[in-house]
Amino acid sequence: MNCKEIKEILFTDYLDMQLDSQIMEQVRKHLDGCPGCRKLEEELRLQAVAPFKNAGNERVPDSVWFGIREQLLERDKPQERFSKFFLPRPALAFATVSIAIILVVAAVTRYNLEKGQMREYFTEQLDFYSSLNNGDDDTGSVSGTGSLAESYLF
Amino acid sequence: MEEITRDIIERAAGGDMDAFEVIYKAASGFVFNLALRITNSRPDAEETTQDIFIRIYDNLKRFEFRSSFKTWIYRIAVNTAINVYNRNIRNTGRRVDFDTIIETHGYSPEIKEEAEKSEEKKMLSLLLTALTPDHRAVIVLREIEGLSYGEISEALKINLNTVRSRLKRAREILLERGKKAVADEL
Repeated sequence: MNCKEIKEILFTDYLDMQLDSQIMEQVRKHLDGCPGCRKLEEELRLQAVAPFKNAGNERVPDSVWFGIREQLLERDKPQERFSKFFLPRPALAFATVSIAIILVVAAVTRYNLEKGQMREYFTEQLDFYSSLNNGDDDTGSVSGTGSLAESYLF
Repeated sequence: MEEITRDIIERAAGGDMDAFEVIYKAASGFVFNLALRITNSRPDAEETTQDIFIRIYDNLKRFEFRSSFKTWIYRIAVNTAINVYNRNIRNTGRRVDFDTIIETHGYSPEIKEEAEKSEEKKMLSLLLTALTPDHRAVIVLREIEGLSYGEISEALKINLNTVRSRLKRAREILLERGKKAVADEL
């Protein structure tokens, strides 16, 4: 094996002891006789392997399990007691909007109706008073009385 | 990780919280540390560990006992951690890489002191910033978790040659960074 092949193996299978014993022996022999490849092996162990060897494990904070448990229990919790009295939110919103629309429509309709009745009343009153001014005798008993009184007085 | 029996997994899959806690206690140590090495941030690792266990809980019913339960957890853990890391980078652009630290401060006495003070931990954290999440995952599974190439291949669903090429690339980068740090120190 030449240096190029050795370098290729050094980065992976050799460092991780994945080679069979025969090839491992060949690599070791090469390293014994090749300062360049031996230096690479030493640097690799120092820079790419050693920092992980003493890494140690961090302890998991207790809050992590509490968070997980809380999320799962909250998610799997049966519906609230009040839910049978209250509609789910989308339905509640829809019902609220529908009721509001019905109330507005009812109020507008009533307003228009009342406005129409008032207009009719005032029209009748204007017709009545204009007939009084004209002295029209054919406008019924009330206007007739008015005409006789006028004739008597004036 | 302690051996988790089929009965525990099935009970947890059925919603038994006590059984799920047994799984959590057995797996949370390596899941948290894996998340910590990939996200390289303690708050992110805590958030990621929660996400990982929620995903494990949600997918327990789909576990078919064909592969090792631990390998199955590794797969969920690595994928979730990489997703969280990438999402945080997209949202905050908060990645500070090795070169930026060295260029901003030099290999200053503060950094040196910090590295020495918290010993290998800080140095490891600094070195990990030089690796992509995919490279971190492979190197952590190999160096810290001690998985074989075959187990890494199964956990990450990549072939053996990809395991080798990622390990090689990761070590090339680590070697280069290590040499640079030593050169800057001199």
